Amino acid sequence: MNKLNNIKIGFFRNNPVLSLALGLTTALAVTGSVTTALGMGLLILLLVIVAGVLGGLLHKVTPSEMMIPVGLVLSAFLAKLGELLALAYMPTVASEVGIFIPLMAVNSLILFAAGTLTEKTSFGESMKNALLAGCAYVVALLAIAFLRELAVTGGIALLNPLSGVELFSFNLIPQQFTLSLFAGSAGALLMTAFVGGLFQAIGKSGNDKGGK
Amino acid sequence: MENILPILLGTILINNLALTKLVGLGQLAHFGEEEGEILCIGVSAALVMAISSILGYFAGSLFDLGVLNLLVYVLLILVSTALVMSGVKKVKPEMYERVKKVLPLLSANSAILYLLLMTGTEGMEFLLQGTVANDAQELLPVLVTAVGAPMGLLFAFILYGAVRERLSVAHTPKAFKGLPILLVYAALAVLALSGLNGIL
Repeated sequence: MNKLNNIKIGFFRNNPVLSLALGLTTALAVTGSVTTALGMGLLILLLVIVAGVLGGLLHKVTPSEMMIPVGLVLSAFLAKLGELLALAYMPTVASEVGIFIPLMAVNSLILFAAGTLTEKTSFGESMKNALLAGCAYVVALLAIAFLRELAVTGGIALLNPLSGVELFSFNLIPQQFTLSLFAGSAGALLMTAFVGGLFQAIGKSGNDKGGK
Repeated sequence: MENILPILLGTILINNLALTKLVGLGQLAHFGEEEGEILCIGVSAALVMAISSILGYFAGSLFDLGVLNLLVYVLLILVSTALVMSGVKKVKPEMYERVKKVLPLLSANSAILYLLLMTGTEGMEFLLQGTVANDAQELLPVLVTAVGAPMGLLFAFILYGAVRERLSVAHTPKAFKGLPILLVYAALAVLALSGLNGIL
């Protein structure tokens, strides 16, 4: 994990979940449907921002060798906060995700945002990195969830994660051609790998043309 | 008594936390460069898991943790990590120098917290998928799980270490270099292990 120090986080190149494996456990667990991915993605984004602020404050008073324990306690606190928030405001998503909400206590994306996995940098720099990583994480979650739900059910049914009201839905693939493999854990891994390959290919080709 | 073997087998292979529940994958993908290091990290992770799950069981049964359960569990994991780290330092000082940057991060392994949370909230049933329920809160299954699940974690660490070693010299398509190809491999491992479902 030491290689995280001088890395430029991006959406396609060095995507936090698809090529750096930050928060991979949560990503695999919540991408069963677009609704849970959206709800959990927003929750994690919120926690990442709070973790960035609190971690930046703690950095000033914590010796660097104690940063991991302090960061872990901080993220346990945030995960509990997130769990209670999810139970209160998005109960359907919370019951679907279950144990993986408290497991966010060891989500390495939140630890990364709190500055525990990298060397000391300025507050603005680490905050920028945290925000970028959080947004890229949500994009990756949505991409994986979209493809998985499409493959499993043949269409997308997006509900509002807060209220459970249907926002929109469509059906693309007839029922007899859907792939139930992608509902399970093996399918989650495969789809994450495919999306990761896709993102890396896009990032690389952009690089070759002299883009970002 | 007759539940010991199913729990042991189940936690090592069939319900292997890292390979079938996909917790702690991020660390499996990164940790350790060569065999000795991977073995050392894997054994340390297994020890942390064993110690913390036993401590967690007692903490959960002695006190009503309530909302503070996450904080208590994380602190227990931190304590066991510190214990294991000092143990490694004493037994193998030269190995400790090489892995000392990675070892503290074992406390952020989600497989360890997953085991603690699951035993704390649902007892042992999740590992047996409903075959027994009444003795779920007894000490013996917890002890057996505290032996079996860490062995499963060690197994996963060694497996992934070996795969990473081979992948580093394999011709991987450009886009899949790094994490994606490892995930494809992990998916195949899950499929292979799912063939063992139902033998208990």
